[in-house]
Amino acid sequence: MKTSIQIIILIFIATELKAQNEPTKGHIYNSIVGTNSEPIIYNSVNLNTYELLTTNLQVSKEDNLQKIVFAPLKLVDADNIGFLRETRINLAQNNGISTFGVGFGYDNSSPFSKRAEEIFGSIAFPSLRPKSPDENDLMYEIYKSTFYSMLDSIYADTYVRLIQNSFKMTVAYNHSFFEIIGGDKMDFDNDSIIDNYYSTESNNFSIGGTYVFSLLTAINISLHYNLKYSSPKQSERKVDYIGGSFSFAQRIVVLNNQYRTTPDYLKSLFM
Amino acid sequence: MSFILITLKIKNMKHLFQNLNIKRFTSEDIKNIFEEDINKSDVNLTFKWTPSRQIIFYKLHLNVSGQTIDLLNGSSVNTEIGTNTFNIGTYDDSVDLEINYGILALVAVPRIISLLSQTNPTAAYQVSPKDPGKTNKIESGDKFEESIKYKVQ
Repeated sequence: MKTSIQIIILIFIATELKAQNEPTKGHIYNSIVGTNSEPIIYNSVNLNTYELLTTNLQVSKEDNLQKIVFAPLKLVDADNIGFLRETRINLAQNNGISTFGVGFGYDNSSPFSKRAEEIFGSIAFPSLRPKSPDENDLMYEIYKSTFYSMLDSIYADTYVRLIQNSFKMTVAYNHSFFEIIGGDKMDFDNDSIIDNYYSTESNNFSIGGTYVFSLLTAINISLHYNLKYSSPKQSERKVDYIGGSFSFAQRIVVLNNQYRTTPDYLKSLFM
Repeated sequence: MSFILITLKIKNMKHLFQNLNIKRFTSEDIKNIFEEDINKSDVNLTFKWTPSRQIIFYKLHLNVSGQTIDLLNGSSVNTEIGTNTFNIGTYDDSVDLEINYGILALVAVPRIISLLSQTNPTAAYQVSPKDPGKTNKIESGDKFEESIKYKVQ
């Protein structure tokens, strides 16, 4: 049995936001948690992401990774699918190794969680009052503008409350294949050993937890159990690896401290 | 079914004898006001949307006879149960009503409709969107405002 432990201490993320005159729905953002919260060694099997769709592209001299994590059940309207709403599918290609995975999770920052119901239910504010008979149009428009601004703030603050001190957990299984997954078994180098005997490269079981202190700070811990062949040759033996990771993410610079009043933030809620 | 009928009956009864002068009245007054009341129509506005989607009703204004009334009485209504009915009031025939409402979606609401109903005679219509069977959609964080005009029958 081999053991590998890798610890990443800090991930620094700097964020810049610019206001736009015409707010448009933002669909791409950088999250404090997600596929980058785990060390590179587990990037291809990491399912600790909580968005509808996450993509990850990593290019280096020795390590190239293309990856998509998709949570299709987030698109389902039904309200009775429970924890399955956080089901995720992983598709990754890492130096010729293809990985397919599925993960089940719990996320108490989900807007459909019991915790969200409590937070949403605690929101209380006045209704928009009608224009008074003795009030001129300008004064009423100023009142309405202030009221709508308050609505936007309440909406944004609700999601901040939802993400603060939230906990997320993922249990996942990933199956990785060598480059050749089918066809005739061949002995290419005539050493009486089949060179493409195994199609499965590894089976990876993992459990991960993330705690988000705020929009700025999060920690991630995960454990992996990996059954792996180092090559597809018939002479190889399956070796089990146990690995773990710990990461701490902290945004150290927010370039626009007024970001919470920008149309971009109010539309996407992410920094 | 019987439970629903009883509930509706009790709900409608709260509007009876509103115009009865408690300081001075006769049996004739009681009879006349009751006849007046039962000939009036109770009007309700119902919202039906995808359950578990949290929405906030922050505006519900009624324009009637030149007056604008805040039907929310100063407080927003926050709910996720998927249906909510607001009583618009009790009116004589042919009264023109204009209802302006505003909804904030805390999460995306894939389907939402509004229905206007009245008693005496019983009638119910889908008022938004106007095509029966169609639904509206509200994105998370969006404010959805509409105005409905209705003549009581």
